[in-house]
Amino acid sequence: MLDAFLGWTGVVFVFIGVFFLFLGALGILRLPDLLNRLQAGTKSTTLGVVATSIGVGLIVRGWILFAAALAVFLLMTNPISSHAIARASYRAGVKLYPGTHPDKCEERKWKLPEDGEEK
Amino acid sequence: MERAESSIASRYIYAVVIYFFLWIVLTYPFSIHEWEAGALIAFLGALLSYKQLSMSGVKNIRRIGILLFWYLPVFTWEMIKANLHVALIVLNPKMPINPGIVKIKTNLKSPVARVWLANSITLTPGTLSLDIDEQYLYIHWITVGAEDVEGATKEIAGTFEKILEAMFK
Repeated sequence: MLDAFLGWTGVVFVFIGVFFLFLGALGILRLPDLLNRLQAGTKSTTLGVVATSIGVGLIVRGWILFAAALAVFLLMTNPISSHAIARASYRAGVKLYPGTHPDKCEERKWKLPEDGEEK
Repeated sequence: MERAESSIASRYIYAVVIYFFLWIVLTYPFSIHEWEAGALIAFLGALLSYKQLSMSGVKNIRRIGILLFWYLPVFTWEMIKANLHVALIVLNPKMPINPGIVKIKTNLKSPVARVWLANSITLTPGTLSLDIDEQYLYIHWITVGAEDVEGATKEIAGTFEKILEAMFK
């Protein structure tokens, strides 16, 4: 009884995860520029993969601790990689969506020397 | 950094506890032989790397408590909201976006706390941390709600700053 209940809960979790992963892919396809796409990509992959791995942990007993460890490492590293991509793209001058209204980052003085600049 | 370091013993014990716990998690079907090997390896590994693992040693246990029972529920709820927010934008045929990059100010002092704040902001509705400059963070916001520094700070960082302040006091 409990086994079946946990199994079906796991299946529900996996479906939620897959649904959000699909939405993330759709967002990457539909949104206009890199930063917006990155937003959709980061958020939905994080929740999607966490939900999927917890679901798998509930279906297959004995994997739940591994699934939890996987989820923790993913939660810690996923935002960092998206942050690195966003910062690199902004510094490299990737064009923003024309409607991007306040661009406070323009006034930012980069501390690292630019290419070709004397230190 | 001006944060006071804890004693070497405290940092070492903290490293042993963390490594032993990780070992138990990763060798899940529990058996006493695994635990013996794990204890040995935790003591040796901690000897090599306790300096890199933490500055404040056993005091981190209190932080882990706050993390589990206060930060994690709030964070989970915010992350679900963030995903529904993205879902509504993506599934709407007109795509109601109004993106912009705003600047927020944080009062957190320690670098680790700022990393946590930036990560939390990235995973909450509509915001992505783009850059950090001392106490200012630059945030890409998919539906801009407030353009000035104070308004944006209140709306984006408000929930997490309180928790992180308690955590990294």
